[in-house]
Amino acid sequence: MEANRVNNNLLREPVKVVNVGLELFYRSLRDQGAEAVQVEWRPPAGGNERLAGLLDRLSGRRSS
Amino acid sequence: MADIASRIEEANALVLKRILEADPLWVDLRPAKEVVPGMTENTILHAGPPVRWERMAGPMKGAVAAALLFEGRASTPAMALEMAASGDIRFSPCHEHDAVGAMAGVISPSMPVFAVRNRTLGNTAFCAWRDLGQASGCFDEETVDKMHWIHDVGMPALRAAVLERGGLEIKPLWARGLLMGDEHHNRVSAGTSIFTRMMAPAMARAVEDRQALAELFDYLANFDLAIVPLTMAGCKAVMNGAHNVEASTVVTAIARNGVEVGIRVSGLGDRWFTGPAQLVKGIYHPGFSEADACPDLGDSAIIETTGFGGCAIAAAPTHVTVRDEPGAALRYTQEMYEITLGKNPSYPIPALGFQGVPTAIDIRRVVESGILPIVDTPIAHKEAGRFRGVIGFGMSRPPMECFEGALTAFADRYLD
Repeated sequence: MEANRVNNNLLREPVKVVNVGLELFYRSLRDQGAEAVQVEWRPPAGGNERLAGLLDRLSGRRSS
Repeated sequence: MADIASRIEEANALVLKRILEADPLWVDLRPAKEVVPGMTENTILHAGPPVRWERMAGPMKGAVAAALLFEGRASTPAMALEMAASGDIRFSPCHEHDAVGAMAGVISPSMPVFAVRNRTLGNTAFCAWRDLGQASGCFDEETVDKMHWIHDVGMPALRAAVLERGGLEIKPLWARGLLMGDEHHNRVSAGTSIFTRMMAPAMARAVEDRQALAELFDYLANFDLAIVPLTMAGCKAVMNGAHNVEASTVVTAIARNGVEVGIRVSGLGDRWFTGPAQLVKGIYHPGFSEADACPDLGDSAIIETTGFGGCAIAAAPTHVTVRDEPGAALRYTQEMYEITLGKNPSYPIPALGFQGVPTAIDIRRVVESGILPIVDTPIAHKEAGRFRGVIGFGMSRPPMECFEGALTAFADRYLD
């Protein structure tokens, strides 16, 4: 099926990377000469599920 | 009843409106005991959230000693320290008296305070005209002499001038200062200069004592940070107008006592939410380092709470804390837009396409994003009396515990 076809050209061309989250991966790519951009991202409330749940309720994203 | 998200949105819109429309006017300069609510002969106010004498940071203890010497309650530093520890003095946070104080933030009954009225809502707030030595914990003869000069010479002269002028509008002064490279917390060269120009005619007309007039001009000419207490009183007047709005998640105070940092939130009344004060990463004067520093100290973060200082640092790229790191000033302010609800069009920042300063810090946005407010702060020596003034400047952030505690309390109060 079309959806399962692997793009074999992906790594034959120079790699361009959008890295989300851990900046270490971004720096590593840049050090190896790869073109990369860093997207600052952290899990909501630093990954604290209790606080994330409260934020959802206070923002109307979840009712209870 | 509307769902909680809608209630918060409505409350925060009202708070933002009150901040944007606030109109602070400097109206008076008087001893604290004559105007500050709850001030008595035995009361001494201090910066930050509540703290007992035994736990106070070094510079705060030194500032208390200086205040007791200045008040004539003690004749030696040893006697002052003994009196402070005796339990006869009632210590209380400035913020709980509609007031703020720079660094140690110590205000005693006779110390002059700038009184600023928010003409939009009619509330008034206060900030001590402090001697920088006292505010940083010095209690030597020079410091006490300077406190007496402020009380005996500075206060009557400057008070006569502001009364002659019919008050001083602070909003245009803040707006012009930003356009001239100030962020209004520690880079205030423009603000002090504008203040002096605006007050000079009234000073010349109202102050008959030529020697006092000359000494006041000397003070303004030689002390770049002279305007800071007036700005702090103005910011407190603005943020008190935004306080106590039911269901609002907006921060109305950030304050440090050198041991803890505390915040207050509009919809949570007068409760403090605290976390440990951090050492400040900064630029230290020669001979000093972080090892000499008192952790984060002072009520002056009311300036950031209003949208200036670290929040508006993009307006002050020449300031010592950011000038050696290209682009840092812009990045800090842009980061603050992530955690605030609006921009204040009265205070545009030229370097950011004249966008207004980031305004109304939302505890939900802070906790969700992990981005803490940034405070452009002076640094005091950790030992009382060791150094007159600041030993450096740096950028600090209140601990996340403050915001997580406030969010939890907010949920306890407002969620079913």
